[in-house]
Amino acid sequence: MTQKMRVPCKRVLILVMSMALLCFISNCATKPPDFVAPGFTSAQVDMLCVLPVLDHRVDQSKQLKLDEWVLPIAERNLEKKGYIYSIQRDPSLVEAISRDTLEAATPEWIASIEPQASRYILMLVLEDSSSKLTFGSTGSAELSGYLFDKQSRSLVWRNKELARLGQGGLIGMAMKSTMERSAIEQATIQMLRTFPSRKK
Amino acid sequence: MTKNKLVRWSGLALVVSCLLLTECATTPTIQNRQNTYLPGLTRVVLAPPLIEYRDVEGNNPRDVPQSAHDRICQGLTSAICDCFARKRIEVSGMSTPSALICQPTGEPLEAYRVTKMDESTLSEREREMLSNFLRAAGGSHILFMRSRFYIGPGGFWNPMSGAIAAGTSRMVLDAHLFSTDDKRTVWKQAAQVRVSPETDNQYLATAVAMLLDTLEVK
Repeated sequence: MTQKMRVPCKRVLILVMSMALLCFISNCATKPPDFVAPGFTSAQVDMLCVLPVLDHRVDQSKQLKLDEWVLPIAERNLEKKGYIYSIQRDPSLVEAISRDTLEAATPEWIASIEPQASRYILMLVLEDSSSKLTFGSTGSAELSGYLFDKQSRSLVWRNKELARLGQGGLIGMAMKSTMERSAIEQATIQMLRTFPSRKK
Repeated sequence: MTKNKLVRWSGLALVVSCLLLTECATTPTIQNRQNTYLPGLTRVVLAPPLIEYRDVEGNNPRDVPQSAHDRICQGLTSAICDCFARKRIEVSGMSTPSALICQPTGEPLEAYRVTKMDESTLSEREREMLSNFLRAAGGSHILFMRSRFYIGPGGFWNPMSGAIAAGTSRMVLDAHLFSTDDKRTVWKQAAQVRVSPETDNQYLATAVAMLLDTLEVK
């Protein structure tokens, strides 16, 4: 009887473990980007120009060192993915770009994006970020990414990532000041994970 | 006070301060803290507010339930009228979006509200159209307002109000005032409040008041 009971128990255990593993894998899986233009392949991107990070938060009273936090992560990931890139750090290049301009980007506007000599332009936009003190602390960040092809005057790739981090207890409360930055960095990592690789 | 009591009281103070700080997260914040002075502004034409729901994860538009649309629209309009009444500015509202059809050309100005909140993208012809429309409506300024709800996943219990609030949900209120005389936007402002659209209208009044307080007429 005991022997007979053991076999189904083992099966149930294996089933539960397989399901847990499946759940774990599906959580780790990268979600596909929100938009990829038909016919676009990363192999076309001979040189990628990354603009300074656009800060589209409504409340900008808190100064964030976005270029310092986000661009090095972008550099590392683009290099890993086999891109030849240039990083622009002149904030005047993105000063006049508003949320609505990006959402309803016209071919004329795309063609006018600076720097003039670059064809593929990658823009990373911080839409919102915050940190909260609760019985610990939480941080959240919303980051959008746009890749424009100035030659075809079109958007070829777009994605949005939301990162939420949290830590409970007194340690979490002490970490409140770094939570926002961590969430922004996490969102950047998630964003670049969805960016197509040039390596085969 | 014994050591035990002291520990208990400091623990309680810590918990209360945490809860208060959590509540502060729903306080509206505005984009530009500088006031704009517009002397002589006595009458404003109010365009029907644009209400949008968006998915915070993909930024994709979501359908707005009609009941929610009407409730938010009514809340916004009455909050705007209250604020302008305090500033002694007369408001004439346009009840339907069709009122934005520009006469006599019959061309719709709806596209302006939907896609061109950014005034810099307005063409000379569109500026002229708006000016003609306002002249016909008997006003010198038109106020456009857009309320966009970003609906986020997850949620938490707010112990102060008892409501379940989604930590990543927020409402962004964009407003701009177009002048006939100048043929351009003379005032632009945005406010953000972290709430879900299911909560009551009180936050709308607070956000609108905060937004319009940056507009000075006298």
